[in-house]
Amino acid sequence: MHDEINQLISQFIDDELSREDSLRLLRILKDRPEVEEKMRRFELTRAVMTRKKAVLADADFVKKISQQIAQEPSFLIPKKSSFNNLLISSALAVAASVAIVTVLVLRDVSNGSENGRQSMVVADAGRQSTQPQEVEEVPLMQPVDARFNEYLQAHRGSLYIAEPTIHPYARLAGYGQP
Amino acid sequence: MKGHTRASELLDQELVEKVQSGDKTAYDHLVRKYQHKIILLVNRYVKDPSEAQDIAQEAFIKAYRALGNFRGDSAFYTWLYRIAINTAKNYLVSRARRHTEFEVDVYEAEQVQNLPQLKGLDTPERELLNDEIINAIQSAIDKLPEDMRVAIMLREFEGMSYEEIAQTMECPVGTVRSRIFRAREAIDNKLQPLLETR
Repeated sequence: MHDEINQLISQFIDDELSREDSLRLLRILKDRPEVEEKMRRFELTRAVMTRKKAVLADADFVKKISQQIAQEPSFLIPKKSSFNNLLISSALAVAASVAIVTVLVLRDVSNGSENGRQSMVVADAGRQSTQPQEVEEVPLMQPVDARFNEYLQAHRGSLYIAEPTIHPYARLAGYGQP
Repeated sequence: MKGHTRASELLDQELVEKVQSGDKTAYDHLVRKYQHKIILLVNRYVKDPSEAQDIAQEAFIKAYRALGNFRGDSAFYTWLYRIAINTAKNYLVSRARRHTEFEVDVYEAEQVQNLPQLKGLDTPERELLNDEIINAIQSAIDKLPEDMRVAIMLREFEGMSYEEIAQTMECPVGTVRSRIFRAREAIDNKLQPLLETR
């Protein structure tokens, strides 16, 4: 166990330790002064070898700073979303939009085909024709427009039209008219 | 090496974000991780070790106060390094001007730091201990087996990564890791008794 921790220290000061093991070691260092002392000596060896100076932080260096930090106000900065989070959010937003559009289109197609079938039956009955391709098709959006118009006329006296020459859902307001 | 450096930066970023979210204990980890590097850095400017401790401490406090504005455009250590250097230079300039109050110009500090009279001096006791430690470590290195001595010297003197040492010594990275660790343990066995008697 000691050897394992000491080896972690050796790799840590060489910046050769994984993120997870570094965090694990930092937690151990916080709770076990003898491990921290070991790291100090390893660092001292390095300082002497590289700089010919036996200079290190005091043993209570972290504690002193911690005490001063305790008197400082805490940060309460909300976590900024990382680029990955942004990508995930964007992907989810696009997926949700596609899903909504798909549901709307499917609903309209389903309504439209049902209405189309009804129209064809009515037209067939009126003309007694055997050529369904000549049947004048009723616009698919009509039932939806009709419901819109019923609602709007009932509430605001406005009228929405989905004619090909007019912009879809253009509003015609009839002021003062029933 | 690059992968692990990246791992180190990721850990720093994670700790910084924790501090920015109000977790002060995460800052202790950052101090613990970089305390010795920062002390050694400051000691290049201010030779008195006790002054270097105070300046390094001030640098860490300044960094904490500025951490709200840290956006991770550079690595945390690079950012901390700059703060420490500026704190040391400011200290030198203010000491040179005998405690007069003014805004410090960094370029001016560059000039001032080189004046020999501004550099503190080690006490004779400290010098003596310093020499004893250096001798003990040097003697321990000389007695290391060849493979361990080469591994630790490539690491400390040449600054090579484990991967680079493995290529140079034509052995697996795991072997390098083990040789460097065992070299440090052997040196520590000589160093520990010396420090305990002080």
